[in-house]
Amino acid sequence: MDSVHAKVLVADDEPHLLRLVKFRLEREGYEVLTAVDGESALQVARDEHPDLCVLDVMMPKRSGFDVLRELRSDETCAGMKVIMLTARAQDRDVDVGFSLGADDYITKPFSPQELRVRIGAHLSKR
Amino acid sequence: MIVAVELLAACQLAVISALAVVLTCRRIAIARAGRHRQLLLDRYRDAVVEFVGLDDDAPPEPLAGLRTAEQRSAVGELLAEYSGTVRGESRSRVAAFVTDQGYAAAAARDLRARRAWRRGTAAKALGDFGVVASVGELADALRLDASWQVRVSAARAMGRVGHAQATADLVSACAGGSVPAGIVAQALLDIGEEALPWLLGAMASAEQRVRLVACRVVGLIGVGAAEAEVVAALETAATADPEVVVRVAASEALGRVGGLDAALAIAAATADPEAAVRCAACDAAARLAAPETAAAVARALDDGDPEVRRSAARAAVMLGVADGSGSPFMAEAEAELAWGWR
Amino acid sequence: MISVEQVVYGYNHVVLAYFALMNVMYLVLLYHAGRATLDRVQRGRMEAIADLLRSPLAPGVTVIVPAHNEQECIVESVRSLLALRYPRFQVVVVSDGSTDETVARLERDFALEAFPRVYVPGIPTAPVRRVLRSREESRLLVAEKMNGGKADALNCGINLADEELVCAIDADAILDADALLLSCRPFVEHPDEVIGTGGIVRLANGCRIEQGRVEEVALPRSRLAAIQVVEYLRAFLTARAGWSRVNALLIVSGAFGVFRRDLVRQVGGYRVDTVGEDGELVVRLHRAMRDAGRRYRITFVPDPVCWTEAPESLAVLRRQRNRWQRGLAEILWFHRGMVGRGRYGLVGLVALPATIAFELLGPVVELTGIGAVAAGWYLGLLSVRFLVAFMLVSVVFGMFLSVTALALEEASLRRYPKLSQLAGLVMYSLLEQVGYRQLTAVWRLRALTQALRSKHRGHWGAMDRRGLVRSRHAG
Repeated sequence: MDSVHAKVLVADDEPHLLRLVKFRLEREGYEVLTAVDGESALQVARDEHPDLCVLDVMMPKRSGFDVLRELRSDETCAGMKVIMLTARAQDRDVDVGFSLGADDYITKPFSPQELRVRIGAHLSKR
Repeated sequence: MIVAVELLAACQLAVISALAVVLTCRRIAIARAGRHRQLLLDRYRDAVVEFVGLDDDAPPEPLAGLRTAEQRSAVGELLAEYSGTVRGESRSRVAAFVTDQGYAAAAARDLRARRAWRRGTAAKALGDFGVVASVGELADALRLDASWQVRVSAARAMGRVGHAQATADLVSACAGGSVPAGIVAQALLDIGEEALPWLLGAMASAEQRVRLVACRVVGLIGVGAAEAEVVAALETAATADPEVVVRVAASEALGRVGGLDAALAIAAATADPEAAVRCAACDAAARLAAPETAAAVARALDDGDPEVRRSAARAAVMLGVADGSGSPFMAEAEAELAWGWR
Repeated sequence: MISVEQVVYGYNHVVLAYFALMNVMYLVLLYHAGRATLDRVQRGRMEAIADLLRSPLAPGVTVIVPAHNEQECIVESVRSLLALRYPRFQVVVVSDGSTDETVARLERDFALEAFPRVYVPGIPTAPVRRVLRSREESRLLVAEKMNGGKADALNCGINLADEELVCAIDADAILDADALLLSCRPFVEHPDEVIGTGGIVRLANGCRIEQGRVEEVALPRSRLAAIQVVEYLRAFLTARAGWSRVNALLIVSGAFGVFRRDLVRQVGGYRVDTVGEDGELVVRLHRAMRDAGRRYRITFVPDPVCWTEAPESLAVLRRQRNRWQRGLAEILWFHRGMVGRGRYGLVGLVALPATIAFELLGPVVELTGIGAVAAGWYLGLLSVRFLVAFMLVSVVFGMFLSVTALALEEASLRRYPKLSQLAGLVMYSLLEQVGYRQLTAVWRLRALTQALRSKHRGHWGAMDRRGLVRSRHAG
């Protein structure tokens, strides 16, 4: 699918990160949706059906894992790619993430370039 | 005495009224200053986001050549905030910019300010900026600053800047006790693999604190090129260190590092006189799932301490060691595995 | 022969001196609290607490929730606990012989199943019937045990805990998202010294609560609750902050405290034969550490906030204050051996005697003081000036303490965003001194006499749970 039309959801409770990623991805031509907590992330994901979600693990209201679990058990969201944002060296996070069905993970602090490349790679695999 | 009481009460009433007035004024002033600051930040925020987020080396128009202290302060704050959330190319770009434009130099000057909170904030900013050249100044602050808070701030900043050169200073600060061990540990972790050569030396330190930090951090960093030496050092720590907590940390680290030698060392640690160490060794054995530890784990299943038996059962389940004594901990460990918690 | 007039006259002066002395002590505490607050404020500018979030070195915490018939709030409470911002923790709910749907609702909502957990009673407790866990949420553990009281349930939680720190929290209390982060920071920074930290308890009455978090802070509509807001601020921000700075912090509020699990187990866990089990554990920890000659610290951390519901009816408030005073009496009785002994440092030499004099015996002196002043006035022994002095020393000083506490709160934490709320609090601090304080003194006196007359076993107070954690709007 053409990157120009892809929808990406970014969920994180850090406003700086949200702004940065949104800006970066919009420049790449994606349509970016944002959420500041797990609850709204889930809401947006269900309403808008983004092609890819970038989820922070530790968010208020519902954690990234909760959201991931909900998305994976929802048929309408099948095929949605999910990248988890985890704090560095929390190896348990990585294991749990993959076992719940995440497609990839990126540690914080993150590299915007790396994020862009990974998102591009996952979206082009469709 | 009545006079004293009246005097006291009069003072208190005066203080109460004064406080009421002062606090109200303060609130209003803060609100106003806050709004003003917010406007400034809003003005430059998009430019900073663009600068940090994109791959373009040239800074956007609004950011270059700012003159007034207010503007620079706002931009400096924004740069620090956003630079703090990223790493890699974006971060280096910000570091180059702040050096060029003098933000880093201004923060370095502030490191010698009179008020402690200014020094501390400056240290934090330097850490966020990630300018490698500032490590020297931060190291000075770490060694010499009179305020504990500033030293802590400097230590954190040195970790965030991430230069290996900082390791020696951090380790000696830890040894001297001038900065809490936990802060040093996190800073070393932030520096990562580059810190390994110094950490190897630290594991032989005379100070228990330092050895403890070194063992914990080494396990979490990941071994890299120095594997054999690291494992050897951890081995010694896990079996021969006089302090229990160090042996525990070393055992845990061995479980993360892996390899044949690590497995053998862990097997030896399961026979330690202290229950805490035996427990950590069994946990490490569970992590490694190396057949060399099987015999030791089987023996630990009969340990006198229930926590050790629990850890041993977990390891036994991972290793496929059969349990002759029918320990209830085995059922628990098997359930954990079956439920996918390993 | 000493005449009645002489006795009354003398006693009046004794009471005046008593209050003056209390004033001085609180002033000293206030100074320390002020310094501590300033330190915190400065520190807040220098660092990002989120560092600890990323750190794999953060110590693990087991949050223990003792629950007895908490079906109304337990699910939302557990959910909000699981959403705390902290890298490594578990939640252990101990149902202490609940006869309602507490466990059933948890089972349903979290898809709990029986788990073959081996129960090792390091601290003896009533037997555990079963342990339930969730496949999806490995951080949650629910234990169903035979009724044994709150302290017993806490001990059971300690036995089941896997992490190195334990935190006891009431089922109807709410923690701020960063509460664990901020309470555990002292453990990271001073691992050799800190053995326990206590967080501030604030009153959630009137606040807007959504999904188990306080979203908007507001003053309660109930005047009784508003007066308690002032009271808590004063007690926490001045007294406890002050005592903590000199490492003589005695009562870590029952609603929120984090301790090292190994030490709590070493001293034998919570005592089941007192209603003040939380404070008693703290005193016992002080005692054990000082007996062993170990360097240690128990710190008060003003940032993290635990929110709880204050009683809004006089009957419930009375029962609560009665329980607190009896608990205090029991604790001081158990540890009377520490009083005045140099080996217990400031705790034995200052904190405990001060607590006995001013908190335990406070209501006695206050009420007999009022009686003595009335008698003195009636007998024409006291001048107007004396009367005024008496009033000043008790009422004005109380107000002074409250207002300075508010000032400290303003200077550092500023959880009350509107100026009108602050002004309201000042008004309530006046109301507290005239009427409320005397009323609680009466209750506390009764509690004291009850405690003296018989040993009451600790038992759960029947404070009606109003489903605090249910989402509702302020007003």
